[in-house]
Order: sequence, then C-alpha cells, then structure tokens
Amino acid sequence: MTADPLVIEFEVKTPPARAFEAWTRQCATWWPTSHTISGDPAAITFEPRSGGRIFERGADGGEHEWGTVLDWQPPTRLRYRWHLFFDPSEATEVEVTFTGRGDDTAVRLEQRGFERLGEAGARRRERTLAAWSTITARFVEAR
Amino acid sequence: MTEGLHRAALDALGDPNRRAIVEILSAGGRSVQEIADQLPISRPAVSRHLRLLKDAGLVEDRADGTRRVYELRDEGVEAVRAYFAEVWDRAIPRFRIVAENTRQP
Repeated sequence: MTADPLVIEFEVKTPPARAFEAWTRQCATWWPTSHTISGDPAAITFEPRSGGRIFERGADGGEHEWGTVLDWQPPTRLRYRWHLFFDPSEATEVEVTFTGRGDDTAVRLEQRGFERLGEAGARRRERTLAAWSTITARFVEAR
Repeated sequence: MTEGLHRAALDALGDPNRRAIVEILSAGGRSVQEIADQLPISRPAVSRHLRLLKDAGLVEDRADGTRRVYELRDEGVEAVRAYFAEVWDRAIPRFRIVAENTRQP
C-alpha cells in the first residue's frame, strides 16, 4: 500500500507573486467545476491568513468548506488542510511552494497525510468504507 | 505505485457495474455468487468484472474452504491518492493558463 505524499512539480511562465495570486484569489477561474460541491461555484475563497477558511460559494449563496489555511506566506509558500468531498476528519494537507527562476516560477505541490486514512484496527475499516464510497460517488459525478 | 496503475484503477471504476461491485465489497468479502445475487447481471459477467478489478489492483481473492472470496485490496488509501492525482492532472493545466495569461490586477 502506498500512502506516500503525492508530489507534482512544474513551471509556469510568470513570476511567483502572479502564480500565488492565481492559485488563491483566482482559484475559481481554473479549478475544474466538476470537482466542486455546487458544480457551478460563484466564488472560491482563500481567506488570506493562517487559520483562514477555504470555501466555495454556490450560485444560491450556500457555502461549502474545503479546508483551512495553515501557512499563508505570499508569494512563496502556502500550506492548507483540505477535505473537499471528504469528512473533515479525513483531511489531507497540501503545501504549494512558488520559487522564482528568472522570470518564471517553479511550482511544487505536495499533498500528504494519506496514511491517516489507513489507520490500524476498526477505525481503519470504517474510514476505508467511507473513502471508497466517496471515491465511487465522486467518480460518477466527474465523468 | 506507478502512474499506469492509477489509470487502471480509475478506468476500472468507469463502469457502473464495477462501481456497484466495489460498493458491495466495501462491506466485506463476498463470493462471485453472493455478488451476482445483489446485481442484475449474470454470474459470468460478475466474474469478468472481478477479473478486471483484480487486474486494476482494486480487488484480490483468496480461498476460504471450498469457495473463493473476493475482497477490496489494501483499503481505499491508494484509491484516494489516485483520485487526487487525477484531480490535479485536470486542474494544473488550467491553472497554468490563468497564471500565464492574466496580468497582476
């Protein structure tokens, strides 16, 4: 079983400040609507501080929590707890760093905490069941 | 875990009967007949789906006396991880377009 962090690295042709801004303040312009709760969010908000909420606001005004900002360090680093589609007890942690390289930015995303979903014993069984039903349910909607 | 196996697992879940089988197995191990009893498809069809789920790394089987029991393999952890890999695969190209083509307001 692999519970290692998921690491994704790529470059964007823009400075770190712009990349950080696009990741956070402009999230709604690029985040796939198939992976939202409302399916057509009016806004996706990262409250710009440690402890800030990350949430989606649907066209009907309803708010859906995605997670909590842990470290807010523009323009180089952002870390948040993330439980979109999952119970808050099944949150994983996402850390994104934006490192300047000339006029471009190297972005490194690490998502970790998957091992928490596989704790030993009875709780593991419960969580497993929850995780599987979440996965299969979301998969139907995403297709 | 390779990228190929993520894809195989997600592709395997692209079929409603296989998702139904995964849901049934999330409650515990079952024989082919027990699974077929809960679905509107034949026992040979269930066997075919199980073989595909097994190839995708989602299901494993073991002998239990005279019968063969199918179970979900190693919890949903890898599937959760694979799910997020898929989400980022879709999101990041879109992020790049926004980051590279809009100006600082």
